[in-house]
Amino acid sequence: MGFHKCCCLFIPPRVLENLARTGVEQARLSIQQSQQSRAKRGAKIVDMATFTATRKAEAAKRQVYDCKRTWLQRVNLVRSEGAPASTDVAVNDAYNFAGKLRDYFKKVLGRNSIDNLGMDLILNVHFGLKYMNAFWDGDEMTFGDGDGEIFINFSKSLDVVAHELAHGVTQFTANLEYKSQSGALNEHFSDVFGSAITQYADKQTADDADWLIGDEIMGPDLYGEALRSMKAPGTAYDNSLLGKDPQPDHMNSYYAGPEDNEGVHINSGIPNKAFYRVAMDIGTDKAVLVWYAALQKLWATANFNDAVGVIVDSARLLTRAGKVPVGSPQTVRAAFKAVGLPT
Amino acid sequence: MGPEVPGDYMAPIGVPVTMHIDFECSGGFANLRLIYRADTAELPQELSSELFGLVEGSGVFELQESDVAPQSPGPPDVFFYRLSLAEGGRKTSLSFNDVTAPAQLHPLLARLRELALEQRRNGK
Repeated sequence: MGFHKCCCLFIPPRVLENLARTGVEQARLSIQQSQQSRAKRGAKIVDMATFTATRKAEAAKRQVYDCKRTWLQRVNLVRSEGAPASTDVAVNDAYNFAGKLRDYFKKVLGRNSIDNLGMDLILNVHFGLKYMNAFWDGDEMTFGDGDGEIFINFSKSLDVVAHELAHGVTQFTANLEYKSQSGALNEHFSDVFGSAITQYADKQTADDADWLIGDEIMGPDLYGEALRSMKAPGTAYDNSLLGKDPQPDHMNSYYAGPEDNEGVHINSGIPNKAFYRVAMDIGTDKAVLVWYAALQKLWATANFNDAVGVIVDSARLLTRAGKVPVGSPQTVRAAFKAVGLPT
Repeated sequence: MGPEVPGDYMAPIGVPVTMHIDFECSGGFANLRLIYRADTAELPQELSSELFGLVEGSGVFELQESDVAPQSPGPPDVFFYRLSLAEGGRKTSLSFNDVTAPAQLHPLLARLRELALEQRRNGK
């Protein structure tokens, strides 16, 4: 694989990106590997087997830690794989949801955990005091309890836990940079998996689903609201505490400001709406196959137009393989056209 | 009730006890944008004292921008913060996120988020 190594060393990143856009698979792989190597070098110490992807695939084990309302992760291991249920609902929710996610990725998408090598699923609950957030930090998931008024416990929601775990999957695949359009795509893929896994677990179809993200964690002050709507971006909430949902549902309302890492949680509404339209046509289960195939081909700096090209291409390949219905590429193209993409 | 104040802060005798606070918390899973600006001279004594205590306990004036500034966008869904404090001859202005902020800074951040929401509830 001499070309592969030479790409990393001598071909400027911009040239590699252009080659990737024109469909040169080795260029895409080279960008992805360089990005992941840089990310790993800049992160915590990684063992050589993981770094070189030679570690044997193992079954992912769940580990749930209670942060005991401190601002530290992994304070107290309270439930490991196979251990009996805890008396703490948040611990059991995190454990059970992580199990559903692991099973979904394995059974439906053939993926062995976050890194496809059986990476253990580390979940921290009760992080901080009234912490109204959940995040993926590159290694593990962390959930706050909320303030009890606006937000309740973030680990209470399957789509929130799935959203965070999916950030890990994105990190180990396209590794989309968390800013501007690549960042909005990163958020978009997490919303896609969050919603799809919830539908799968609840045995819902695209028609039955509410397509809301975060509705289960709204506290008594905002009960009935949600944080995002994939069906109707921009309508999830409108109140004096949070303001109005700023998500656009079309490129003609694209947010071009600096806030939110240049709109990563805002402009994700545009591809979210496209995914919803595709799912309504070919079914969420088939739409996810297309999106997951695309995620494995995208690269860190991919923009919306790049994503459209790769997702349509993935739909074509899966149609040829008989995995999604005939006409899926046209459905995907039409869905993106309806939201103003490609530009 | 806010987080516990790590000890009662005592201002040096003869020094006017005022601190200007300029705080912004944005992003996160919910993409919140919370802003709190205050001058402690205009706050109730109890709250002023609590904030002084939290600032002292956080060690924020000892932090350097290079210690806490994120090196890249992300990680996904963390809160991003901008915090400026000016008190007497001391001033600091820092940008950081949930992961780069040291643990001792978080009680102050949590209380400032709470105050930002209180202001919003009161329509300010």
